[in-house]
Order: sequence, then C-alpha cells, then structure tokens
Amino acid sequence: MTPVYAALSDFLKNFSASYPLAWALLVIAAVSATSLVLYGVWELIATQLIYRYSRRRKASGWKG
Amino acid sequence: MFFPNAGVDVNPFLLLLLGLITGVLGGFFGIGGGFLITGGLLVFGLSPIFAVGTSLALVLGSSVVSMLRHRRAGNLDFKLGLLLVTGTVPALLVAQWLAVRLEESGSAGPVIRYAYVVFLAALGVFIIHDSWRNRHRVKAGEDTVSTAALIRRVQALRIPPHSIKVPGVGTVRTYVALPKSGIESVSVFVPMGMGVLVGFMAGLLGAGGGFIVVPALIFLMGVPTEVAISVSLFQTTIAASMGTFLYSLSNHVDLLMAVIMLTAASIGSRLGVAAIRVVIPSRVRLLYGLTLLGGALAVGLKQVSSADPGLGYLASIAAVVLLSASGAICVLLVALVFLAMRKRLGPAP
Repeated sequence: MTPVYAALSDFLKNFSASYPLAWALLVIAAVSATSLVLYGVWELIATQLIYRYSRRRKASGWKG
Repeated sequence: MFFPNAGVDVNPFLLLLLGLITGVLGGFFGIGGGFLITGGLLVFGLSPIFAVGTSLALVLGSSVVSMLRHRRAGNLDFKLGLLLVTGTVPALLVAQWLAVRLEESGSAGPVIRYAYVVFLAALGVFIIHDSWRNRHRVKAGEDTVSTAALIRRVQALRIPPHSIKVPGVGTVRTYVALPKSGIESVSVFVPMGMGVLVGFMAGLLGAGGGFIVVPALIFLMGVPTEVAISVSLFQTTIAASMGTFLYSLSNHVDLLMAVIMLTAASIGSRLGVAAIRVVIPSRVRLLYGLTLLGGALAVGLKQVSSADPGLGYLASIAAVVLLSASGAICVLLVALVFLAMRKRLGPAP
C-alpha cells in the first residue's frame, strides 16, 4: 500500500465514522462531480475522435 | 485492492467490468440497474447493506451521465419528468416505510419478494408478446404498441379540478402539452398519479422504479420509447440521490469503489445511449422484455436459495445468470453501435 493510498484510506474511514452528515454530503458531491467531469471528458474525446476520423476519410478522397 | 469503508479486497478490473455493463444497460434501457450491481457486489464479497448503498451511489452517477447524454440527443422531456417525480418520490418513501414494517411482521416479506418475481416476469412476457404481435407493422416502418386504445383513453381523461388558483399568478389550468412526448394535452394528475403508482410499487418491491416507469410511460401514456427511457433516468437520478444520501448517513457506501465503477459506467452510458439511435424502438422493447425475464429468473433463484440453506448455491447461479445475460446484451449493443458507425462513416481508406 503506497503512503498516499494509506492516507486516503485513513481519511475515508475516519471521516465517514466521525462526521456522518458531512460524509453523506461529500459522497453526493463527489459522485455528482465525478459524473459531470467524466461526461465532459468522454464527450470531448468522442467528438475529437469522430472529427479526426471523418477528416482522414475526406482527405483520402471518400465522398460520404 | 483494499477498500477501507467496505473492508474488503476486490480486483478493480472486475469493478470496472461491472461498471461498464451497468452503464451500457442504464443508457440503453433507462434503468438504474440496482439489482445487477447489488448482485455483482455481493459476489465480490461485500455485505448486503454495503452492496445496496454502494450500488445506489453508482446508479446515481451512471444515471446522471446517461441523462445528460439523452438530454443532448434531445430525448429528455423535463416537464414530464418533474410531474412524474412529484408523485414518485413521496410514494416511494411511504412504500419503503411500509415494506420495512411488513418485513418486520414476518409473513409478508416472502410474499412481497415472490410478488416481485411474478410481476417482473409478467411485465417481461407482456412486452415480448407486444413486440411479437406488432412485428408486421414494425416491418412496414410503423412504431406501434398494442395498448393504443388504452393510451387514447388515458390521454383523454379529464380529472377535476380543471384549474387551480395560485396566489400571485392567478388561475392555472391543470392540463399541459408535452410536445416532446407527442402529447397535445393531458391532465397533470395523470403523470402524477402514475408516479404515485410507480413509486408505491417500486418502494414495496424494494426497487428504484426504473423498470416500471419505462413500460408505464410507453404502454399507458403513449410516450415514445427513447423519451420514456430518458424520463426514467431523470426519475432514477432523484430516487438514487435520496437513497445514496440515506445510506451514506449510516456509513454504508464505499465511495472509492463507487468512483472506480463510475469511470467505466460513464463510457458504458455513452455506448448505451448511442445504441438507442441504432436499434429500432420495438427491438429496444423486445430486449427490455428479455432483460426483465432474466432479472425475474435471477431474483427467483435468489429467493429460493434464501428459503433453504441447502440451496445456497442457487444464489451464485443467479448472480452468474444475471451477469452473463447482461454481458451478452452489452456485447450485442456495442457491436451494433460499431457496425452502425462503420456504415455511416464508410469503408476504411
């Protein structure tokens, strides 16, 4: 176990046991924020991939 | 990898796989997939209460991503979603409270669980039967369901009061137009009442309600399949956020595990929503019916195994059946998406 992971584990375990309301809010906020960030990241990656793929095809003379 | 809150060691690749399957099915069918994730997490060694709490957190994240995708694709009827949630949420809370009391009383618990299996199977059979009956119309390019007469009657319902006085606003009619759902005018009490019914059944049966919302909107209100799926995701987001909050308060959510699964679920959601555009609505409903039947089989096996300690192996068979069937549907959907993309973009240079 790396020191960073050990510290994170300690924090998660102690914080969730000591501050239930703050922990519940943190869970909701963390899950929602992660979802939004991931949505944005995959959206960006997918748009870029589709754009580059169709540009490559057009450059190769494909009339689609 | 050790997860401190749940106190178990789980291979993160298995969590990513479970997250991916959940995301694809959630994006495609509009269900939270709580029964699938909970089953998977139990197999991975989590205690039942942690499995439910963590699965709710994943359902919340996954449904947010899928809902945003559907919104971008123009499928989300926000107005219908709000009306539905107004009825679903209070009914869900009352029914969950009632379910706990019935469970404590002893005899009602098994009855409710078996009723859940029968209901799931009956719904699955009805949806498959409907797709089979309408297969000729589908071939002719029509998208129709066998409850068209019932839908017309439900949409034409006139429920009093027909208008209400709101202080500062004046008289407001209790009928709304839902253009995105293809409904010219409907009483607000219809979706709200449907929400109460769905929430009560879901709460009593111990589920989030996604699997009832989609068929109810399609077969009772005549909402297009893709809009019904996105509205169900909206409802699931609200219900799952409440559940996650309550389970987190009692410290039964493993945040780290949920975030790891969510990473894969967000990719899965994208693929699931993309598959909606590729698969025709009647086929979506057919696959939905098959998934419900698979779910009924798995839940039924689990109930039988809990009744007799000697049949404990049936619970493992149930989890394997559920995960295999869901995995197979995911592979099929992903293949369809890639085939459609190749067709749209043309052959490689």
